[in-house]
Amino acid sequence: MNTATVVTFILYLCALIAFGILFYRFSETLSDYVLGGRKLKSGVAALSAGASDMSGWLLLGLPGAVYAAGLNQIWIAIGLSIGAFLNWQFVAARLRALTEMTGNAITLPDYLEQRFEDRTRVLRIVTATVILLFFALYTASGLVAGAKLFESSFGWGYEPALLAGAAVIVVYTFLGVFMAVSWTDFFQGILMFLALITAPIMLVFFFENWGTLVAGVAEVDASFLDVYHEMTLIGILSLLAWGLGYFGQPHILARFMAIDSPKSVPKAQMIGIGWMVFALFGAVFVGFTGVAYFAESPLPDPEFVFLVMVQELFNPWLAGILLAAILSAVMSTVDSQLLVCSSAIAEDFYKGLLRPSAKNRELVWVGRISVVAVALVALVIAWNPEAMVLELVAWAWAGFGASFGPVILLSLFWKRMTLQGALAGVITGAVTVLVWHYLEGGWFNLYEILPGFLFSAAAIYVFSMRSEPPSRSVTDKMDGM
Amino acid sequence: MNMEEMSLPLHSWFWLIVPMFSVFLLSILNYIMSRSRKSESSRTGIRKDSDGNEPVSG
Repeated sequence: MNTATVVTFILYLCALIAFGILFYRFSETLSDYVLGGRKLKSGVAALSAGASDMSGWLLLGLPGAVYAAGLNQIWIAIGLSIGAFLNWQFVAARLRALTEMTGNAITLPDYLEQRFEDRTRVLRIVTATVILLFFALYTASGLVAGAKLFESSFGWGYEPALLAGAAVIVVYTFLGVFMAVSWTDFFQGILMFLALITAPIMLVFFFENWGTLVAGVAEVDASFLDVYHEMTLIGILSLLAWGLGYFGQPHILARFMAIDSPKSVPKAQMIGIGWMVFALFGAVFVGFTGVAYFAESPLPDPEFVFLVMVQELFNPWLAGILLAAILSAVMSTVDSQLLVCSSAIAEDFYKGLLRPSAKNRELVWVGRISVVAVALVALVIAWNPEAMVLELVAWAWAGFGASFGPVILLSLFWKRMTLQGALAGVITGAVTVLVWHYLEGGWFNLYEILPGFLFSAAAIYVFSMRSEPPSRSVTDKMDGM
Repeated sequence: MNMEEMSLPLHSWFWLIVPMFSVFLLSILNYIMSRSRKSESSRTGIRKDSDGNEPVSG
């Protein structure tokens, strides 16, 4: 790596930590402001939902998939755009309004417990278990992304790169640095966006015109230009089904709950979808142009495509900033996922089940130990050098989408849904995704989110209809919507 | 580079561009409609509920 790139990379990270420590003092009021006060403006809600949704996989996973297989991967981008649009259209405002009416819930377990008036805490425990399980996979994908960045930038081996990345992330989470600097997500979001758009445009100029670029891709493999190449119905359905995942992602739904008013949703939707469409388009374009650009010397790992392109195309000083921004974007996402896991362990399990009288200080330490424990589990999952960011994200994405998606949708629109139905839906979705992942052949090659989503919806219907109708107080809240 | 080679990728990109930018345009349309609803209610002084119904008086 160029010395200028290394210098700016290190300086950027140091500046970020310094700002983090500087703002750390205000973190308590800041997080109260963001989470408790429901004061997120349209733009911040939209971009933070987008940024927490797409970090490692947008920059490494998706371009890598297009670089390795060609344009037949665009079905993912199409499915995601439609799914995100429907999520903003049908879930955002209604969830925002209903969570305020049901005891001011600010997290998914909170909302479900209050929506179904569950005093047994069973739904909260089941929800927290599913969150822990699939966020461990999600965290692993972030660790893999960090490892690949160190690997391609500094030429380290996979294992040392993974350990270095994991150590930095755990230390940051301990300090709570990134929680205090949510505004950097916004800044990094813009940097990523610009890099994703400018890199392929520069490559079009590098190849002089669009025709030469396309010819370059065709020379490597003409089938890369065909959106239907090796695509069966199952394949296309699987890629489109990614869009279903949006309805159940806890970190995205949390942004909907924190938005300042249901009336802000249309503006946030416009900003969020606009950012996403251009970012996805850029990511696909990076992978596509990478095929022609690296035709002479193919990359050892397809997911390196954006990282190597940044180092080769941009001025070394700018490349350093972009690489550091990629790393910190990945780290801030992993960091917030670890924090969700630690609160699930400390609040839902430790305080909820083991020690209801636990003091705050004790809970903070339980939370910190949980961060290390979850990071260790994620490290074990990520240890395989063949691990792909996109594969790990796909599994976690399916897990959340199938476990929570139908439950959230039906809880917002169906008055007759009961606690038993919600429990059955969460468990059926999670179990289907876990089992289906290991099945192969024929219809079992279908992406697990689709059967998981359908089985979960069916379980909610059957168990709701077989149980006692919900109480008057529950249905009154729905009538008030 | 002949026209046949040129048209194939353009056709492929078309598949990506149409659905993705359609949802973006729909979002813009949605926003414009919500703005016009807001300005209409501030002009008439009538506040509609979330379903767009005017309040029943008396």
